[in-house]
Amino acid sequence: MGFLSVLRKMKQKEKEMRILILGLDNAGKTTILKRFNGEDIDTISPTLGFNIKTLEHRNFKLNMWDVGGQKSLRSYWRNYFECTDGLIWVVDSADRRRMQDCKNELHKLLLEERLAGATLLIFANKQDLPGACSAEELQEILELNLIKTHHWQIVWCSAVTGENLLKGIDWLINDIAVRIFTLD
Amino acid sequence: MVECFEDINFSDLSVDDKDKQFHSVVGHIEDILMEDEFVAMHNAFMEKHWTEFEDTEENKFIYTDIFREYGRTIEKYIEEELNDRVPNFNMIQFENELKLRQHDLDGEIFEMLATFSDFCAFKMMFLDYKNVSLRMECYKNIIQSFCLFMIWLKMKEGRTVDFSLDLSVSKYVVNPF
Repeated sequence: MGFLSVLRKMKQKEKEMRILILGLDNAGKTTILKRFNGEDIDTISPTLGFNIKTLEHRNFKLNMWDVGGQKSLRSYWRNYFECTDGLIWVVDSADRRRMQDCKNELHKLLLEERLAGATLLIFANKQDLPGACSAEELQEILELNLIKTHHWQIVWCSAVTGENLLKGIDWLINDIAVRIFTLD
Repeated sequence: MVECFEDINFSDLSVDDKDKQFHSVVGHIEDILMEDEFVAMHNAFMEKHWTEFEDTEENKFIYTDIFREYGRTIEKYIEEELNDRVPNFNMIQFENELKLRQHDLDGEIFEMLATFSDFCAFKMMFLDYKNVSLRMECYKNIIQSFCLFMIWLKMKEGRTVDFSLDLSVSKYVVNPF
């Protein structure tokens, strides 16, 4: 890290958080981001690069980074780990066929040193679809109870209806805030 | 008594010296960023990469590579210039001094330096540069077509072409600030 990055980090406004949104392709990462930001979600196509949104929520400034999840793009994820305070792992709860892949990718991420300090929120998305796994089922399938290295929480949601998005994000912010800002 | 007094005096002086040194380095950075050489280097970087950028909400992965190269290029340039200008300049020491003054880094120069590592500002800058470049291309094409038309017109009339009124489009320079 050069002196410009050192400076940027120090100049970072108080109560600023960097949040990274990852997950398999078609999990609904961009839809969650746009829905949370109050944008139109009718014309979202698969993300081939990455999206950034900076939004204010409860007096916090959230820098949210959403990176494409297709298999060929996953090797780029590592370029976005630096300085991450919170990781949102988005799951398509109705895509039962790819749960193993989903579990493996998540557990692989948690080994990353640069994500070691990050709080983990798992969104069990697409609960509006018939046949979607419940959050409890996902907790089993994804073996979340094995995670001892990160503060984590699983929250069911639907990006399309917007249900429970706030609940998840609020939990994430609270956890990060307790960790970072009370330490100052 | 005397010894004690001297001690205090000495440490005061050393803090003062450190402060002076720090502000002198910051002053040099200010100079460096305002000089034509820096602006030229900055423009060369923009010129090399602007065609990669597109005015879409989604970002391409290559922006991240270019962004990193941008940070490295500017850091390296500033560091080399400081090495030339400040005797015994040490970057690590300067970084530590920065950290010590974390809550005291107000002023335009620090804002400017922080912007160099702000991705969103970086993308906006490239999109602006692209717009200007495309507009210049467009003007060049219009002027070129106009010249060709005039030549054709004159040749059609059987007149010789007078090139003494040749038009030229000079290279533009965009100051990043």
